[in-house]
Amino acid sequence: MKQEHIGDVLVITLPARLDAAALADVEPVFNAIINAHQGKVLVDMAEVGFAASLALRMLLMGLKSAQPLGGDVRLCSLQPPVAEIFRKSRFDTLFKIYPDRAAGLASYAG
Amino acid sequence: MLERMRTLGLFGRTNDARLAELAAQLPEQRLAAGDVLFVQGAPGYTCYMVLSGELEAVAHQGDFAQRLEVCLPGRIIGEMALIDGSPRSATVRALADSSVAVFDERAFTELMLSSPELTLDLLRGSTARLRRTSQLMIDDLAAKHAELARAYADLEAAQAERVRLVRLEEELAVARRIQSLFLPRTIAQPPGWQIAAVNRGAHEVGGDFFDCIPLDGGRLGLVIADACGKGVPAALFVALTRSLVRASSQAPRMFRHEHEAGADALLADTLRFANEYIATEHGASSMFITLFYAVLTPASGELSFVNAGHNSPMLLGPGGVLRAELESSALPIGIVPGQAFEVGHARLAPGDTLVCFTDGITEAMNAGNELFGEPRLLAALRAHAGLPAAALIDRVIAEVEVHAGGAPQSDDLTLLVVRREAA
Repeated sequence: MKQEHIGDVLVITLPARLDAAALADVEPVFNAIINAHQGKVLVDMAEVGFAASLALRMLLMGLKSAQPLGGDVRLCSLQPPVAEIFRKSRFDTLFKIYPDRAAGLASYAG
Repeated sequence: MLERMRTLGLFGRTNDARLAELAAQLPEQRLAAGDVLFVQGAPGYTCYMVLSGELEAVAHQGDFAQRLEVCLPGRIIGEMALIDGSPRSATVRALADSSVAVFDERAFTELMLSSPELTLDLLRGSTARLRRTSQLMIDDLAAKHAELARAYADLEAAQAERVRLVRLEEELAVARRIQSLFLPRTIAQPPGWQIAAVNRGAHEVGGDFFDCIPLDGGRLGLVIADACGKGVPAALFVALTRSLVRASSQAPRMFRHEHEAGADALLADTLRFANEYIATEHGASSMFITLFYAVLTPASGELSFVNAGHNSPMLLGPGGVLRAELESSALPIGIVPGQAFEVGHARLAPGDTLVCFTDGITEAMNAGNELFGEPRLLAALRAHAGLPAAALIDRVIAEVEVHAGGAPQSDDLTLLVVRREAA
């Protein structure tokens, strides 16, 4: 998992496999940096090829902790299988999702 | 022999004539490496003086063997048995080709009488050896005692851990038994229909469930659901959701309402109630559960359903041809309070089959991280379309297992098949 600040946006790049075993390591770090940032977050999912339901829960918790403070968690660059998981679970209605990082960053600039 | 005896320090103070006389009357015994001179416990009537080579003295105590010393030329061996008539206190074996002079009791006595200095040397040597042997035994015993104490402490810790694990396992076994009661004990089989289901957990307790709820007017409530995550946290949400959905579905009948609730109203009310309860009472946990709930009217084959974020059940025509996927129209249960649930409609004609599944089926992975996937599921359903519902389930599970290739099942598997028999 990589994190970088681009302007006032915290960009988090998630690793390729978000299964239960990987999330045991990823989730505490993900939660901690979102809580510390308290603002605009863009999660770049370009590398993610598989996302278990616990990964959706992690993103949902991020959203719930960011939004009350005026922040947001937006997503970009979903690979087709992951986009399908979001569509089937209707998680695509919870998050603003952009085709690539530039579009995601632009959405915060407006 | 005389020459060799002369080189030994032991005879430094014995005069030559005497030594020659002694040497002349002593037999010599040769031993090859590995030969035993005498065995511990045997009676002893002779003692020996090492002339060449080397021998070891080993004391045996039960299963333990303790090397007492290595005897080099000049050492007298086995004199204790001659002095006090006791059996041999150790076994002596040649380590290399060796030779020893053999003293019987008379020769030994003569040897000692011939030289008070030699006797005193022998006595000093014996005393030192006794002390050393006792000390070796004591050190050895102390070391063994410490080892035993450590082993005992390890054993105690392991035993405590085992007791803890056994208790946990027992608790999980109880939880598993209780959870199995959250599945329907029997599945209704209306005339002309086959309904079968399987729920196989990857862990002691599972995060999936199915249900088949008898409703008014001969209708059936068919449920399949998958709580996010697995193991105990997911199992608690399964228990909660199953109870809310079943109780809410049966409430109109329980409370003797006069009118049979329409399928759409029953679905919308049940989903709204369960979602509201979980999202508000358990929102802090951010857990959610995907759920597909259909009300089937067996007489007509009419199906009303709500899909809350669950994998789309497949509606197959005769021959296993995919006719429709009953897609999700809402988020999973437990996320957004006050969410509305849109009711969809379908109809099972004779020969049609509805297949509901959880992602444990489609996301079963092989060693190359390749998912079983919907295309393989559809192919399996088509290949075995002629089988009765229960046998079809067995075939699909078997194909998932073949795909996984013996990899441990990582997620719960649940499959619910509803077949309207061909007319």
